[in-house]
Amino acid sequence: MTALNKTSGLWSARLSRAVRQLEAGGGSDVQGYGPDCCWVICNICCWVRC
Amino acid sequence: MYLTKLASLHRISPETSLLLNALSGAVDLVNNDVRGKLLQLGLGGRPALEQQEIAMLTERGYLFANKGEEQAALRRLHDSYEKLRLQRPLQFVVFPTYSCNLACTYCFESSKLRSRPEIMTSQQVADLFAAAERISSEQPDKRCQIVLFGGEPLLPSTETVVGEILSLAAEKSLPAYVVTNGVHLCKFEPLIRQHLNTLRGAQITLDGPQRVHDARRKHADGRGSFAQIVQGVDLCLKLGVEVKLRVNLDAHNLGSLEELADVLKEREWAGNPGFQCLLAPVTDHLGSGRYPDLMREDELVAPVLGLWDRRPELREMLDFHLFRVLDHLISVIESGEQAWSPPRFHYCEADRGDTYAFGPDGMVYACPESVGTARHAVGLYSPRFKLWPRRLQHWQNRNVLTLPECRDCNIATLCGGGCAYAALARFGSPAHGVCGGAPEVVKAYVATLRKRFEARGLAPVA
Repeated sequence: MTALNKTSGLWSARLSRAVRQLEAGGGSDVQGYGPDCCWVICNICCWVRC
Repeated sequence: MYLTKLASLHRISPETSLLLNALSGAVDLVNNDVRGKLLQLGLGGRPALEQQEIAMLTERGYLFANKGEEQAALRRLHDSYEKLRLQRPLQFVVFPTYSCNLACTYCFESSKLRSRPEIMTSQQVADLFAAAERISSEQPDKRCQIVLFGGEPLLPSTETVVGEILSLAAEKSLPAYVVTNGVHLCKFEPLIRQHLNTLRGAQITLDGPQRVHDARRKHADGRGSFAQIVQGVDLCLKLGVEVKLRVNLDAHNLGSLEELADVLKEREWAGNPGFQCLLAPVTDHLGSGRYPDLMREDELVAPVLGLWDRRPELREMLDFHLFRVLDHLISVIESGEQAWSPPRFHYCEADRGDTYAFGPDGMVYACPESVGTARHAVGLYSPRFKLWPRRLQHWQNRNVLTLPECRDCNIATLCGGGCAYAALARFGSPAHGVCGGAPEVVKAYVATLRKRFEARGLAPVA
């Protein structure tokens, strides 16, 4: 079995870290998370990294 | 020992399979031995997994003691997601008019809607800002922004009302963006200059080099729009208004992406920090079947990835946000986790209660695609403000944990449940999952992996 992503980067770890960073006022995981429109292209929502 | 229902196996080669975990986000390669054991486990069997395999599968979030533990993990993930969701801005999408000056070959809006003449009045503008204030007062921690949309928001007939909207946005310190076909941008130059602190960005559509673009995004009399749009993009970049150039992609213009990239280079847009080009498949959420050049998302996967493999420099230039179902896989496999893509419990901002669209008909809609039809409205804002909670809840409670069609899907958190407007059109309510070909998109991507892994010299699975 070969892991293609790090276990420390799995969703639960990353979201928990992002929540902790958010409560502490910000951080790289929160920025990485960004607004959902970063990942959704419908008719208006491509304000990537807005 | 319980294998999460959100695990899926996808064969890459006769010896190797991709193991994907839509609960933890783990992406792994496994050999046929492990594949066989996982398939047995999924069927309720008791395969002879080695201790090391159990340890790794547990650490990677595939194995749980029982279903209850798996569901608890899913709920914890959703709770974290919801906390972060509050980070996203409230979007007030304003339609100064439903009418449009172009007659694009693939337009998703009905010609009946596009020909509606009403223009938002000054009173409606005041009422919509009052409504926006009431809505945002219930979520005081959220940022807010104004998005001008249509129809086409920048028409000679809307200049006055657009000026009023931008002035009120400025007064309330709300950033504003415009989604425009770009034809009249230069005519709006004085207004743009006046509101440079408020108008932060413009999404402008350009579907290819001139001959391709003009054949599809044209005026009612058949004239093309390329030349005007190019001037509009130049103007925005000169004034410091961020430009997201949107390319609506289908069989008609797929073959001209390299030529488009040449245009971006020639005009020195590529490389400008205020410029970004995004590919977006033309979609037919209503399933009308009217547009013959429409390509399903899974049909676009191989040609677009082939282009990126052939011309890697275009990957930067033509942004990789095309296949939303693949966001996570692409962030892991293609981008080396530099950008990360969280689980997708919702499909788009309309499902999260982050978007309120205001039409010139005085109605409020949850989804900008559903505007103009009163039975799809979730409230009204002029002459009085009233939201209808039951209708609103259909949109805002919509996620992969509440949609019955998504409960047993092993890639639900990659997809988000599909388009709510498509569900509304198909089932009469947004409270249904609409698959939208998500499994096929994953399959199409996996089918490209063997070659890509070989090209990168990725080691075979031990």
